[in-house]
Amino acid sequence: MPTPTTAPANGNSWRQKLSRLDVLISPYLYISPFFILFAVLGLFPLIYTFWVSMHEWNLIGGQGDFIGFDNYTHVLKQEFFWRGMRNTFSIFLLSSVTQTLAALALAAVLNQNIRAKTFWRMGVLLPFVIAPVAVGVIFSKMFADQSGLINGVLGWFGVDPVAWHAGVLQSHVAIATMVNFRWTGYVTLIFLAAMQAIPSELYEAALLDGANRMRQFRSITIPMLRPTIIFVVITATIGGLQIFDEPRVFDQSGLGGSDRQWMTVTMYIYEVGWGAQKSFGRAAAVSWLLFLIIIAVGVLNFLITQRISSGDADKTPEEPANSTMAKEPVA
Amino acid sequence: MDGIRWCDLPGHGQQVPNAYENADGTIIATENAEVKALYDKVLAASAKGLSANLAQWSDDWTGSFQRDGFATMVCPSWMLGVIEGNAAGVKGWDIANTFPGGGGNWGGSFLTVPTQGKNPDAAKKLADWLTAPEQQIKAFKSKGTFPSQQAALASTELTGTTNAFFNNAPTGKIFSERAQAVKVVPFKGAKYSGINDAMQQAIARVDIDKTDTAESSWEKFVSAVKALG
Repeated sequence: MPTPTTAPANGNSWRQKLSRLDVLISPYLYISPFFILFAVLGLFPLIYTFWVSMHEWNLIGGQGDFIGFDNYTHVLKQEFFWRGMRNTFSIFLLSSVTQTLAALALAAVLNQNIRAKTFWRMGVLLPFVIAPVAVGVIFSKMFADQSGLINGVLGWFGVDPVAWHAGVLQSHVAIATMVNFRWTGYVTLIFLAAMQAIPSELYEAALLDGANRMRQFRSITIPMLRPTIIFVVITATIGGLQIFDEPRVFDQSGLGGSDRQWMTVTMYIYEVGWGAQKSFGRAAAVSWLLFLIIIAVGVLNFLITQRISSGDADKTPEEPANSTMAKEPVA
Repeated sequence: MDGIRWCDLPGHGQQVPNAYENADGTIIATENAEVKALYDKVLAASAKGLSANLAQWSDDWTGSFQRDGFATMVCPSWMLGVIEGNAAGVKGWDIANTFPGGGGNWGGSFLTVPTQGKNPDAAKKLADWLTAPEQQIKAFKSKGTFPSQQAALASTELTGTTNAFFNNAPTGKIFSERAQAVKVVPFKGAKYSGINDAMQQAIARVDIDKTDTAESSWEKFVSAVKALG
């Protein structure tokens, strides 16, 4: 008696096992492409870079002795490393702050019912299509100290020529201009898309409450854009702290100026790894330091943007609500 | 010539056998009195207003060819095309058969045969053939690349060459004589280009950017060379 029951049970259980396995494993298989790609293209290079940074590692000679954190201590003592940090943060702040504010303003304008909407919306994205190096080469000509277009135009208004390639702040402004030229349109479109997702009832209610455009923008648009602003700020941080192309082609030697006025950290990585030192170990150490700094600044930015926006968001629902209450009986 | 300043980057470094490094690769750039003397000499000339204060290859430098920005420049044979291109339409360029302190070599190409190759011997033979005087003369006639072989320097095909843009200067004869005046082959070790970059930046800080004095810029040069170690 027990044999007939077990035989089909056996066949069943094999199928059941298979289907249980299917239930168990399939979800992981479905999501695995991302994790496999991330492991190969993200995690592995990260860990391998760390491994390289623990060694003496020459561009041509390859792996040398294991030296622990010596590369890190060496690099942290270098004046050029800290100058690269200063320049990177200065250019990053000059570009990302102006870029975000300008993009917000542009998006607010494009969000209005203007003529030839699509033309303007496509127009702001146009600079994004141009390769960064091409932007760098063209702007470097415009920012040439003696023969450049910008100093020429300034000259018409009686302004003395600006030493774009000699001064620290001047060169940072010039490079931030290139970055802004390329990225403002892209950020504008992201903001615009988010603005169009804001329900129009909110604005109608605010209009009834007598809130003017400025007030609507401050109390509805900005708080509703919070997730988008966080996204934009975080991506601007990651991109801004890795800026390379524009400062690299800002002069012909590509070292960031005679006094390293505009040498960024990524340019320093390149110089240490592929320049006269040919030290991949040190270049990897700088890369890891930059990675940690980007994470730290990213987290900091996340916390700041969250605080500022949510502070607004907490206030907004109350004030209009109160004022509606107050007005309704009158109407 | 009034108001037109002179542009002369130091080619002098090419006349010092061990400017930056000893033959064993140890860096001597910051203690070498010859290097310091040349540095001071160039910056003294700059302080007298003899420099056009332009960074070579910069957009300002390129633009100056059209605006009489400077009067002279060092002209290795490969510079002819650069000048002719940048100064298109400008009349009056010529070449002087002279260089302070004898001859100097500013650049050139080399053929390398890696030992890892499959047929290094055949590759060496090919390199030999490519750099033989006959081939160098052919390359010179076709693309203007100046020959390096002594025998090629004497070729009448070379010495008979003139250049219309440079007031019909006998370019073949001039460069042939300049090449024969080269007596020193400077030693260039692993850090040579890094040190030379630092030196050019040191001069640029004073001559072009004016962000430093000769003294403070030299101190920065010393620390930049130290950082290469």
